[in-house]
Amino acid sequence: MPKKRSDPAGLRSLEEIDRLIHEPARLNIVAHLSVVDCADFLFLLRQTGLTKGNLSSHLSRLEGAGYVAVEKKFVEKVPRTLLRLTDRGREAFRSYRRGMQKALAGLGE
Amino acid sequence: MSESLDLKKLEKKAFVSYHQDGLVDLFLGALLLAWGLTMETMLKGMGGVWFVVLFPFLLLARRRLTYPRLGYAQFTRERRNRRRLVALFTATALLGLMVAFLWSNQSVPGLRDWLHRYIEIFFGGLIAAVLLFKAGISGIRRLYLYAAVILISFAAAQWSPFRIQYSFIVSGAVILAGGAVVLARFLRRYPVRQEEIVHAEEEE
Repeated sequence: MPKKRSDPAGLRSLEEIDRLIHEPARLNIVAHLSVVDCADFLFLLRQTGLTKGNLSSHLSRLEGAGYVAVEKKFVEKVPRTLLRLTDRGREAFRSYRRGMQKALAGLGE
Repeated sequence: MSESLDLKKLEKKAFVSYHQDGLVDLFLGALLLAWGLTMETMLKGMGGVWFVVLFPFLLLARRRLTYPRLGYAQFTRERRNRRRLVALFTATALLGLMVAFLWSNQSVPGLRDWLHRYIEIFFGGLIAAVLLFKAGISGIRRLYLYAAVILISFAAAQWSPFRIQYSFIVSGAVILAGGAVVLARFLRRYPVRQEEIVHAEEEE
């Protein structure tokens, strides 16, 4: 068996992965929020391709974990409800990416 | 790194989708068309007034058509800086051309004649360069096509009896038509969703 496949460090990294972000729909949302400063619900709906209910429930979970912040703001004199990845959310996404990279590198080809 | 590349692609996709409404095309087309049509009655340099007249319509259309269909996003500082870079490039190019003309008019007759002889190419080249620069930075590929249309129509004015105002009119009409097609496709693809009705109620 190749050494890399049985590398326990790689598997340990997998165990440390943030499961809240790891869920595909939430990963989709967090990835989209990570490339903008902030966005409204409709923008995320269009970009992620999720259903309204799905998006709403996943956003609630992310908001509950403190990864996403909801704020009401006037943009061009129009009130908008904007969603933003918090510093904590950005850091969690960064470590998730690092962790996945490490884990997958550890697993080898 | 593949991950950073994917995020870049994601950001680019989100940004480009914002420009699939054809509004910039309509703005640019209308600007060139209006400039060309009024060239006989106004001073040539005053055509820039159309920019000031038409720009609020672009903002209004974006607010009325794009945001309700595609949602609103504020892009990162890096993206906003790139937009500023395009504006800076445009302003510098325009200013450079103006200074070259003014300076040559007053002190260098040889240069003045040369600049006046090739004015169509300078002008077309300037607009095309701005479009190419914006296309390269934003990833909106149809701007390359518009740059080619402008170059061809202004080159035609340079090396044929075709007058410069027709270059403005023809390129403006082509870009306007392109924008209308893109807008029609956008409106069909993204009907207004319930969220906008809720949003509109919030506004009242």
